[in-house]
Amino acid sequence: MSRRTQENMIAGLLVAVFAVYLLMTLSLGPNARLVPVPIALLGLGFLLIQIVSQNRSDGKEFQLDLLASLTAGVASTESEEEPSPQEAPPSFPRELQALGFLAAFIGLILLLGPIAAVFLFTTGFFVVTRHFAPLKAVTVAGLCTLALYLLFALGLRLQMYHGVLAALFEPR
Amino acid sequence: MLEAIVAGLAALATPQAILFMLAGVSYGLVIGILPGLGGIVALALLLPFTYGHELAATLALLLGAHIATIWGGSVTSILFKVPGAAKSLALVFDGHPMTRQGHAARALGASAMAALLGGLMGAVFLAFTIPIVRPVMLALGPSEYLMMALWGLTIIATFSEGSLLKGLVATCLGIMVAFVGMDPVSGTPRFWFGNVYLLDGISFPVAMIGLFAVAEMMTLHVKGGAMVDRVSGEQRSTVLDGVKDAFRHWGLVLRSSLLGLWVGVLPGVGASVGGIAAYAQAAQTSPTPERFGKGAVEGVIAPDATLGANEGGGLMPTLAFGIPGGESMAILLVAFLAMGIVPGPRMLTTELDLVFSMVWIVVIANLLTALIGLAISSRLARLPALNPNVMIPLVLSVCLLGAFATRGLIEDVVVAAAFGVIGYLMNKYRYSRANFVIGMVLAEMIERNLHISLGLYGEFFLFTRPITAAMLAFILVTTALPFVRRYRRSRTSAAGNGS
Repeated sequence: MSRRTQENMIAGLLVAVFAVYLLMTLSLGPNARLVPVPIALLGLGFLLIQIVSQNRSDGKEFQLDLLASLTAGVASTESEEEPSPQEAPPSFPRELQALGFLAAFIGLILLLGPIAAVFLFTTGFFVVTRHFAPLKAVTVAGLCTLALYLLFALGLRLQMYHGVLAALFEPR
Repeated sequence: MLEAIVAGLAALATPQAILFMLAGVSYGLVIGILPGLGGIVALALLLPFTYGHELAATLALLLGAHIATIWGGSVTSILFKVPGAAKSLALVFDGHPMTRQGHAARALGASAMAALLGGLMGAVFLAFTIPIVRPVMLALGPSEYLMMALWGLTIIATFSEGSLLKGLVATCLGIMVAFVGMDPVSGTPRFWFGNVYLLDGISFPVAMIGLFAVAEMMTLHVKGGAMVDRVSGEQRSTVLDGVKDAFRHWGLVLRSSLLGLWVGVLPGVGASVGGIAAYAQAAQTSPTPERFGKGAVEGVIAPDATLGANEGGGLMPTLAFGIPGGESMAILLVAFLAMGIVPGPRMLTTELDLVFSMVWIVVIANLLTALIGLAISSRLARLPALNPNVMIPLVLSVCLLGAFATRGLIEDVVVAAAFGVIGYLMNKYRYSRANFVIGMVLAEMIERNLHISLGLYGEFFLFTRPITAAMLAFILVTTALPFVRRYRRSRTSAAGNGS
């Protein structure tokens, strides 16, 4: 999928977000929608210009920032050829992996609570990426979890969440 | 007055006060480094320990911790592009590029020294400017605060990373997210989808943890390799270089400190706005603004000096009028009342020695923070070169636990992860995350002050309030100027090509 198609998809998604937001503001009272309505309209307007701009046949986007204007175009020239860290197209499988790691961590937190989840996630991450041997992974993860437990649960006296599973086994 | 200055210092010369000061600063540094937990959390957690001790020692504990959190927040912004708190956001723009270029130690040194110099100036101004600032402060109303927030929005063009339109869209999105929850004026629930959790709104630190910390870890995994490779991880400059930088740019430190003091004095403006405004003024007044965003040390010095001075400024209205300058000051005010300190004009007459004790605490806490900071900076600077397979699970764990700790709600962890994905996509498609956050910060200030202005001064308040009108004119001129310059330049170059 080309970069332009991806950009258009994101812009389309944002148009939908702004449109839904605008519709929702209409059900609010005059005071509550005083600022949200113009903001949603402005956002929609900017997005529509952006979509037209990014689909122009010359392929040039509307580029302007204050720094560029203040610096006689030096910054502008640089920003057009910006070597973004994302310039090399990120591989889709690695993006899915990153998303998977995050989803797994959140799932563990919801199931077991943050402290147990930290231990399992860090151990799992070390083992899956083969950074540490299993025994060392467990040891390092255990020490990190202990440090975080001491800091958050004991030091900051944070009332910990114990997860959905613990709730299932609680005596009624 | 001299007697009060000496008495204020003498009150801090007890073993308990010294011990509490050291404990407060150390604790504040740790809390500051943890993402999402800033000065507010640090103070809130200390409140139960404020009873039954010497008054000066308790103040040293509270203020010392609060001041140390500021530099703690800067550390993660500079090293990991993870703002420790909202006010440290501006440190990301140039601090992290410096880290990537192998100048992390220099950035941390400049940051610590700028915060110290700003803090010292804030303390001095706190001591001597109360009679001057009071009438100015009282002359400003909600319509002027509204103008200040709008000025903050115009700064956005500075952070648009190329595409102004995408920057503006990101700002609108940030403002929209800030409107989730109860309307602060009418109490109407907005955009809550019947979910009680959303009635309280999206927590600002939680959103920031997601947008920056979680998104950065996702990017790190996708990219592969360390955040800073081992070669550039080897430091090309020292902490001392950073210290020298802070002194070399003394004019910038002075300007930024005055800005921080001013922002601190104004109730409800908050240090987050101060840090962003300081960065913008540093870029706008620099002879080489093209270096900003690419690792200019001035981009680190300005926000830190502002944040350092902000505390002195914030104490002024809190002590003199009982009006907190920000959220942290509101908690401090609660602590003051619990300790039997009643803010008001009496603080500036009969209780002057107590005020000077606080001035001394600000000075000493800043000194201690800078000393500890400078001592550990070179070690901290090596952290970003850690292997990503170690860094990703550890940073994610700290950040998600930090998100949970913000309000003790498990939903915040899910929201942080969701914002992580949003932040990753914004970064990938170059919708400025900084603009999103600025929009979020300023949204409530704009909405609240607009409503109050309309209620107090009527629909035409822009024309009936001369200060407001002048501020609006200033905003329009400073916003239009770059566009006019650009237009002129393009005409000149077109004429040059034609001849």
